[in-house]
Amino acid sequence: MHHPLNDDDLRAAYRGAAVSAGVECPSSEDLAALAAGAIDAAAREPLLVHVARCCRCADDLRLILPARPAPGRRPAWLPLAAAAALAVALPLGTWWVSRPASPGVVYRQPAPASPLAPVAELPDGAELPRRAFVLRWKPVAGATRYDVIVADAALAPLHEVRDASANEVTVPAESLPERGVVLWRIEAIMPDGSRRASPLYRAAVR
Amino acid sequence: MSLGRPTLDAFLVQHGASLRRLAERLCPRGMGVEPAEIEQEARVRLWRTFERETNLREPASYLYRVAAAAAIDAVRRRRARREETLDPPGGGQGRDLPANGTSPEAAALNRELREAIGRAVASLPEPRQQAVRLHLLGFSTGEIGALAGWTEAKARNLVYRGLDDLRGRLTEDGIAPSAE
Repeated sequence: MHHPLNDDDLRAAYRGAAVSAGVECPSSEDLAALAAGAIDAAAREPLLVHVARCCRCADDLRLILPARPAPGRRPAWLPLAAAAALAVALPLGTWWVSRPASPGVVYRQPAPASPLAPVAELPDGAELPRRAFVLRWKPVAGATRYDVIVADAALAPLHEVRDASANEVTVPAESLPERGVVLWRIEAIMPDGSRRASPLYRAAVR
Repeated sequence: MSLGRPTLDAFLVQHGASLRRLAERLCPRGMGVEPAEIEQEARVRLWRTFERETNLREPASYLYRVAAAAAIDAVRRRRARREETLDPPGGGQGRDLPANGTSPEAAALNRELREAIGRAVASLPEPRQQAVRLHLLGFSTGEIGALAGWTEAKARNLVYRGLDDLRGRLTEDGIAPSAE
């Protein structure tokens, strides 16, 4: 056979061949990290191998590549400056962490997630009737009380419960939308005043 | 109640406009995805992951990763829904079924071409093979370099040399690519 092929033909034919049937595609988070360059070489290699053989992941990646932030140039003096800044920042950081929170805080180092954090007893995304919207969670050993926040999908708070002693709360219907998804989260308060936050869960108003 | 919200709220006050612009830039055209969907999904992910994120020294990169992942998932959901609606069971991309208006002979020829090109590409040495694969999937040499950790000059060199090799192998196979 003899087929004159131009570059577009080659691309079209290769796309037809680059179908990753039966292979699990990388997560969107992995592709986004690859595009952002926020991934080390060892993790990058298998991702790129997959993308080069999967036209769908290639399309996904090409969708997000143009919007990636421009890589910053790192001046040669930066490591020295960083070391100097660290020497100043360490004592300052100790004070910063121990001082009362204020609305001006932007980059407070988050506490690591505790393995003893509250866990919902409802499946994520559970549908609940608006008139009996009961949120339940597993009790946290040692917790003295719980705070619960409910927000809409745009993260605007809808309802808050403070100092709940039981491991469930009922959200009043008037605080809820007629239908749609709300987000909720539990915080267990321990005897020493520390808090253990759950992940953010979703629940659908029925 | 604290719930980490002051931190996230402050972050969104500072970067909310960037997130909205990102959602608009990342939103694909013609797929029925709205920027608001990407922005909302990104906000939910931020709330879910913000307290675990330890690398906030580069907020632009963090915000980009969250919004980009939300955009990809929106596209994947649309794609899956479209395929459920349009694809007959057992059909799909890369299969041998003729497309509408394509004769069985043409479909067989396409299949032969795909297989020949797949074989020829797979026979290229690395890293040329990787560069050629990415080029054929539409990535520019700048993008290939950025993804693979090469300079653009190196990516360009690998693509051009790899394409020369590929054309040579296809010619040996009886497929004559035009020189473009």
